[in-house]
Amino acid sequence: MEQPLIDIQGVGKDFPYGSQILRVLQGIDLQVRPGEALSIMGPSGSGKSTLMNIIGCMDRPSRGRYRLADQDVDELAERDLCKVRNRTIGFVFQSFHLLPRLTAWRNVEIPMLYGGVSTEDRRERSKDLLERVGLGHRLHHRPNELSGGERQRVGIARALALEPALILADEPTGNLDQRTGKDILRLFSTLHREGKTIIVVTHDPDVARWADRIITIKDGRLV
Amino acid sequence: MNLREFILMAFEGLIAHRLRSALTVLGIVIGIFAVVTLMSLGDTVRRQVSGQISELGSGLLMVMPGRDDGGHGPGFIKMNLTLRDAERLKTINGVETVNANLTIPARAETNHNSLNVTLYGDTADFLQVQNYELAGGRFFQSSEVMAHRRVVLLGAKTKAQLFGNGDAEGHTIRLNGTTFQVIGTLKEKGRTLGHDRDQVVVAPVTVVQDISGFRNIGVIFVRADEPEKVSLIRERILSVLAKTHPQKDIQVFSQNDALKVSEKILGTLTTFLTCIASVSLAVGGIGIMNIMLVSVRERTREIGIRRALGATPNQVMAQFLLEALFLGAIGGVLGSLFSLVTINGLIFWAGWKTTGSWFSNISMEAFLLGILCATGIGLIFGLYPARQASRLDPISALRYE
Ligand SMILES: Nc1ncnc2c1ncn2[C@@H]1O[C@H](COP(=O)(O)OP(=O)(O)O)[C@@H](O)[C@H]1O
Ligand SMILES: [Mg+2]
Repeated sequence: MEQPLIDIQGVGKDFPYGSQILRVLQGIDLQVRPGEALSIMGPSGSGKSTLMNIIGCMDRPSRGRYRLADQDVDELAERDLCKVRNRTIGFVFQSFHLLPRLTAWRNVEIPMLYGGVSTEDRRERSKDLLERVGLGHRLHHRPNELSGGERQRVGIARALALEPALILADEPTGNLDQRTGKDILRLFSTLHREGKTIIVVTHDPDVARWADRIITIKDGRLV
Repeated sequence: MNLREFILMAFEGLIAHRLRSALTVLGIVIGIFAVVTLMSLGDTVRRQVSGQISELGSGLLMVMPGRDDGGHGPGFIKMNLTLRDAERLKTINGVETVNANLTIPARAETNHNSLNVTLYGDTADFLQVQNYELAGGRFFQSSEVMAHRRVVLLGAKTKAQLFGNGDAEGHTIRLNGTTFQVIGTLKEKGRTLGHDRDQVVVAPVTVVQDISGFRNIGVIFVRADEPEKVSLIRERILSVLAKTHPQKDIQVFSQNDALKVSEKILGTLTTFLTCIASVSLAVGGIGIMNIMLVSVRERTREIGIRRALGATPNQVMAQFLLEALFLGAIGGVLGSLFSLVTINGLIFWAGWKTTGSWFSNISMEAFLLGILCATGIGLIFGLYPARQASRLDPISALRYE
C-alpha cells in the first residue's frame, strides 16, 4: 500500500483556559494519501482550524503521533518546522493574509525569499505563478488594488511558490461571494488534477462537496 | 536568504512607513548633530587657542596680576603691574625683550569716519611679540614711548574703515577724543576666537595710560633669549617682582602653562557639552526602541504571515534588527553631514583661519564616531523589539487584529 502523506494517530490538543484545560481535539486518526483532495467539515468552534494548524506544523499536538511525508513531526526541532512550512506546505487563508504594502509579485516571492531561491529565479517564478492563476495583468498591484477573488488567487500563487506537496486551505472561500468562491474551488480542482494534495477546511457543505473525500469534525472528534 | 535580501527587505519595511521612519531618524539626527558639532567645535576652538598661544613662541612668558598659588579662578582682578615693573624685568639676565601692555576699547575717529576698536598700548617690541607685520610706515621707538608721543599704527581693518584706499600715514585720528598721528599700518591678521585682530590700533603704552587714566598696565610679555631658559627666567621674574609685590599678587605664565590651562578648561567644557549632547542621543535611541516596538505590534500579523510562510525566528529578528540599524545609520550620516555643514558655516562666519578642506574643520573622529555610534544605537535599541518580534507565536500573530 502507498505510504500516506499525512498519518495522524490519536492526536489530541488541549488549551489552558483559565484554571481549566480545554480539550479542543481528542483522538483524531486521519490518513491522507498523496494526491488526495480532502474536505474537513464541521461547525464553527469544532476544532477545524486547530487541526489544520497541527497538520500545517504551526502548532504541536498535545498527544498522539503525527507523521508528514515520512517524517515524525514531533521529533523535528523548531528550525525544521520552519523549513517544513516553507517547503512542504502551502497555506491558503480565509482572509488572504497578503502583505499590504507589497505588490502581488513581491507577495508571491516571500516563501522563495526564505527558501533561498536566487533573485532572478524568484522573480521569474513569481511571475509564472501569477500568470498561472490568471493574474498576469496584475503583477504590480497591491492587495488593496485587487478584488477579493484576485487576492485569494495571489494567496494561492504564493502557496504554490516552492512546489509544496500539500496545500492547506482554511475557509478559502469564507470571505468571497458564492461565484468567486466557485472560481477559487475550480482553481483548486485544476491544481488537484495536476497532482497536488489539497485539504480544504469549511463549515459550508456546498464547498465541502468539492473534494473526493469529506470528513466531519464535531466537538473535537472525527465523526 | 542572503544579506542583500535582508537589507532590501529592511528598506522595504522602512519605506512602507516613511513618515514614521523619518521622524525616528530625526531624533537620531538631532542627537548626532549635537554630539558631533560640540565635539568638533571643542576641537576647533582648542586648536585655535593652542595655535594662537603657540604663535607667541615657546620662549614667551606672560606676567599677569593674580595670586600665583594655583587658584586663578574667575573674579575681579586688580591691575597691579607698573611700567617700572617692566623696566626692572629688563635687567634680568637671559631676557631678550620686555613688553608692557595695556589694552582698552576705544572709539577711533577721523573727520569723516568712526569705528570702535581695540587699542593696544604697548612698547617697541610689539611687532615681534604679537606677530604682527608692518604694511607701511614705521613702528614707534622706545624713546617715543618714554616721551608719551601721540603716535599710532592702524590695524588693516581700522585703516580700511577710516581711510579707505587712501594713505593713512601722516594723517591724524582721534582716539576717545585725543588726537594722534598715524605713523604706520599693520598687515592683515584675521580673527581669533571671535576677536578681530585687524580692528585694532597700537599706540605707546604711556599714552594709553594717559588717555585711559590707568596708572598701571595689564600684562607684561617677557621673551627669553632661549626657550629652555623659560622656567629659570620665571623664577627670576618672581624674585625681581617680589620686591614691589611682597603679597605675591602676580603670576607668571609660560606658553606651556597657558596651553595647559586652556586645554584643561576647554577639555572640561567639551566633555560637559558632549555629555549633554549624549543625553539627546540616548533619547534618540529610546525613540528608535519605542517606534520599533510600535512597529512590531502593528506588524504582528505580517510577522505571523512570514512565520507561516517559513521564516525562522532568527530571520524575523534579523529583519527588524536591520530596520533599527538602518534608522540609526541614516540618522548618523545625516546628523554628521548636517554638523559638517554647520561647523564650516560657523567657521566661515567667525572668520577663523583654517587649512582649507571642509573635513579639516570637523573632527574626523567625531564624524566617523557619530555615524558608528548612531548605527550602534540603532542596533542596541533595536535588539529588544526585534527579539520580541522573533518570539511571537505564529498562530496568535496571524490572528492578531
Ligand atoms: N489558543 C487557544 N487558546 C484557547 N482556546 C483556543 C485556542 N485556539 C482555539 N481555541 C478554542 O478551540 C476551539 C476550536 O477552535 P477552532 O479550531 O478555531 O475552531 P474552528 O476553526 O472549527 O471554528 C474554540 O472553542 C476556540 O475557542
Ligand atoms: Mg476556523
